[in-house]
Amino acid sequence: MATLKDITRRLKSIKNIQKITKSMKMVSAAKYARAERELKPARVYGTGALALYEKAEIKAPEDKKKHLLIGVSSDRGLCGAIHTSIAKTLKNEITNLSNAGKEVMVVGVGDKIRGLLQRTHGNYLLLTFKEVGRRPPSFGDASVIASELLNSGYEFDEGSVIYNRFRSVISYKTDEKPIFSLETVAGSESLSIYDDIDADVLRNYQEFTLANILYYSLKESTTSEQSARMTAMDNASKNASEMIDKLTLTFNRTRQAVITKELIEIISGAAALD
Amino acid sequence: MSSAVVLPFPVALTLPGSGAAAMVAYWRQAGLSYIRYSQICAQVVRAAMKPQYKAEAERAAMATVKTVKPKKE
Repeated sequence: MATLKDITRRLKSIKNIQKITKSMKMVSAAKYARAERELKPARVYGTGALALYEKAEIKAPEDKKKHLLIGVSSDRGLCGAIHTSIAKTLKNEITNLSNAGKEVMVVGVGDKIRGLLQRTHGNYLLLTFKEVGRRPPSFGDASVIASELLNSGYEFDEGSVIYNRFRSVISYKTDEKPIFSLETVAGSESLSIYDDIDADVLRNYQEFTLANILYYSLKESTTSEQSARMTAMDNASKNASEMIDKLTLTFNRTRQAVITKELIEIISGAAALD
Repeated sequence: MSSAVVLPFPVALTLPGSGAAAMVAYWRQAGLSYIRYSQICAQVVRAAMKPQYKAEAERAAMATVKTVKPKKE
């Protein structure tokens, strides 16, 4: 049976935690509102960039060897299953592609991805990026990532971006979008229906599409992350208030027990004098 | 993606399957990628904006991401 002092200490610390989680929820609610507002125009970039791949029905030929996986997440935790779902998808894809005999490299956007993958799949990591999630992502961020990728010297044939697509305040889904290399797109037969395409234009378009897709996935990812953090902190505050209620009851019971014990001692002491 | 190669001017690139020849852009010859080229163009546009819109544009375009190269052991 805990003493009054222990229960008081515990109660105080849980009340502090509840204040912190409540304020974190407010902060992420504000960030989520801003992220959702910025997501609407950003979706246009993504759908526009992917429209060429879909309309021209570009598919990578099966015998291509080099794969690239880009996992988009962030640096900060306390947001539910955001990082682990990306890492799980990445690990599954690495296993599938390695078993099929393809060469895979992974690019991690966000420190959490690096942390989750380094121990077991560290040799697959090509590059990672940090300072993601502190501020809302801009096209400049996507350009930096795309430039580093192009300058890294890894000539991939096919790739995919794995990110958390925002569905609603309470739900997000881990999604995958394809990226193709220049040779795949140039070699696709249906490309001849487009006017005025030459190799230089295609290469420019490919580089720009990479930045576009990264920008779109970054925007979706941050919105999902903020909504997940809001939910997680809300649950934490609710759990904390439950614990506070239970502890307050035990505190009152303990207090009454202490008073009763003192009374018994006094009365039995007085009775012994008679 | 292939890296930029410096070629003598004027340059012709042929698309596989077609017979047409095309010019490589001057910035591609200088070694820039399209992303770097568009970044420079956007910088110039931002520098030419009026002061009341310039600050907002500069803030929106800030890139905060840093690269971490994995250490080879």
